[in-house]
Amino acid sequence: MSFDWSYAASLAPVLAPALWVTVQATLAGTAIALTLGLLLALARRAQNALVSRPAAAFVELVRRTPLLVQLYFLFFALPAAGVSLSPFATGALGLGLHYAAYCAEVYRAGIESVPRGQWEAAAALNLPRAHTWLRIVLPQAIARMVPALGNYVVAMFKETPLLSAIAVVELLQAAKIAGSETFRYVEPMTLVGAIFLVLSLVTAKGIRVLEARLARALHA
Amino acid sequence: MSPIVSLRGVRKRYGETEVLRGVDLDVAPGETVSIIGPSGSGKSTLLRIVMALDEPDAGTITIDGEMPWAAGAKGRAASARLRRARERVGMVFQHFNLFPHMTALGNVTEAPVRVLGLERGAAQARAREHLARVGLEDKAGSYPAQLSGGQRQRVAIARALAMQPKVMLFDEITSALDPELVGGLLALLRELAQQRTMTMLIVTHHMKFAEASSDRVLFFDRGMIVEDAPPAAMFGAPRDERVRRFVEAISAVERGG
Amino acid sequence: MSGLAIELARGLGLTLALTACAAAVALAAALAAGLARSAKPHAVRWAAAAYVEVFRGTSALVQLFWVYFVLPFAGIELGAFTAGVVVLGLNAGAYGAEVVRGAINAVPAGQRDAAAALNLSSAQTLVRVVLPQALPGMIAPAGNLAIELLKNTALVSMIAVHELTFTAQLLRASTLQTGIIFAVVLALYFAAASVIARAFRRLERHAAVTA
Repeated sequence: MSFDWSYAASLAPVLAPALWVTVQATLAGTAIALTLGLLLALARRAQNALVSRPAAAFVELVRRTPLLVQLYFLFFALPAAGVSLSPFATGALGLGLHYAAYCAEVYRAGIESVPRGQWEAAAALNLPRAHTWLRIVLPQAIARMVPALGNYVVAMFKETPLLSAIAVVELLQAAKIAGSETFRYVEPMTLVGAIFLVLSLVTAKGIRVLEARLARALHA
Repeated sequence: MSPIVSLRGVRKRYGETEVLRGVDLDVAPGETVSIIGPSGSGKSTLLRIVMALDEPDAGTITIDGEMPWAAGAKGRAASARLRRARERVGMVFQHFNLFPHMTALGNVTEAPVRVLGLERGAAQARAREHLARVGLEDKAGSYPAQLSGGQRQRVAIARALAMQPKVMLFDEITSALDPELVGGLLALLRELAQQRTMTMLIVTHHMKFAEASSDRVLFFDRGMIVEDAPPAAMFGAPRDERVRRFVEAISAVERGG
Repeated sequence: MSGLAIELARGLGLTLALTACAAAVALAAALAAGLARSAKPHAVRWAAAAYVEVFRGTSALVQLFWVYFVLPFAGIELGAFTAGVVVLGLNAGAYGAEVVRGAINAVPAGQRDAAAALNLSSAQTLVRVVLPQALPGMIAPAGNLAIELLKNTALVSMIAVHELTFTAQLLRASTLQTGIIFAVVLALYFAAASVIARAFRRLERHAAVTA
């Protein structure tokens, strides 16, 4: 098995736009996951069972079934229901919904990890509820949530290749296309693997740095 | 008679701090030596060095003729040497360190079976003997979680004794116990010391015990032996000012004043 | 209708077979790599760390495609099912190795001190003292990894293995009953995941009782 560096280099114009698609899908998915996840977490804490039960059921269903099947479901069922989205939009939505369920858990755990005493102190000082949330509880909860949320962003990034199943030309799909045209799979596949490895290691390191900064800020 | 434990110029550092700063010590066979001194002075580290759990950064240590950390030995020869030295020594820890997933009997038979190669029946007989010696023959089938702190420490003592070491090390074995259990354990130690079958090194905060049961007392401070004297001299007329203040302060607490 | 049911049942069977085989690979890899991380020779530690970082740093699908499309160029041609088992197993094993390592490190240092003081060898200390205390803590995370493994078997549909997801795609194309088929398939995965979760909870309770 040989590795032709000049062929590998010639793949750059093919892989670069695909990488951009991968990054965009990750960013879009992250935006959806973070906001929807927060809504889900709040819904699960709601007193009204009509709100909390469906939210909990959604989270359980999404976490225990494969992302790929969820993507296929959206890809084929949405048009049948009259909703017409591009493959990219469908893919981003699928990623976002899937990871919203995981983020909801992180939000819940983060909020619950703030000691009860903080709530009680705020109540004793007669602080209004919204103020307690925004200035006391959430800042402490967020510091604890960032590492886990960051890990899910990295996980989402690594799962973008699944979008190739619904005709999105991200990195893996680009590699497959290049490989099938020339029957030389070694270079494109290895390059894609290396790109994912390097980017996820770099991002993971960045998250640890952010974690350390937040830990210092929390203790300051 | 040549010493059974011999340390020369032993130094040990953990990170930034130098915990042992040049220790010289000879212990004769059968001696009972108490080691007293302020917290953090390096007493536990000293015992860990004698037990060959940690390697000194400088200096030599000889245990019954064996040198566990001799230079030049590599790989298998080095670990064989280490284990020959450890064979001679037993240790009882402040926090017991019993194996929670084994019964008291299991704890005491484990090493005799695995290390000494005793057959299970013989090991169990020996274990029951030692559990009886520490007063726990009826607790052989109990798990550590079902025993009180004092009972756990007794099992730990039986476990160490079952290996029949020549040197026994006791690292503040009463510190983690409720006060009412301490007396019983000290009485057990006194008994063992009186039998004179082993050399004993005892790190302790109990001055009355040290005075009554030791042949020799070492005062340890900031990584070095400050004074080394028989109990009468150490507690009656210490030479060093630090020792005098320390002994007075602890004795006042023990008297209840 | 019964034709559909039979097809789906076959697909589910293959999914479960993939999960079981990959789980065996994952278990072996996790134990080997997890223990290797605290081994003495540097080369062994480094190799284990590299394995863990590479398999955790890239996605299972990329690894699957690499093994299926690139390895043949090096003369190694694995069938699709085998490739799936090997890749998914090694992938889960990399995550499992961290679980093993964490659980072993969580055993208090005093236990190793006591074992050393009793002159137990390193092997004896590991097998008789450390592992029995580390094992109960590994069960819950292992259960989560098992469910992830089950979900990952869907990826093997992309190299044409007739497991549940591939079957669902085939049936959708031939019957165009998208909604029902995918709903059933989602329910089947959910049910399988729930069975696995319950089995591990029972295992955890059993381990706690005998401790």
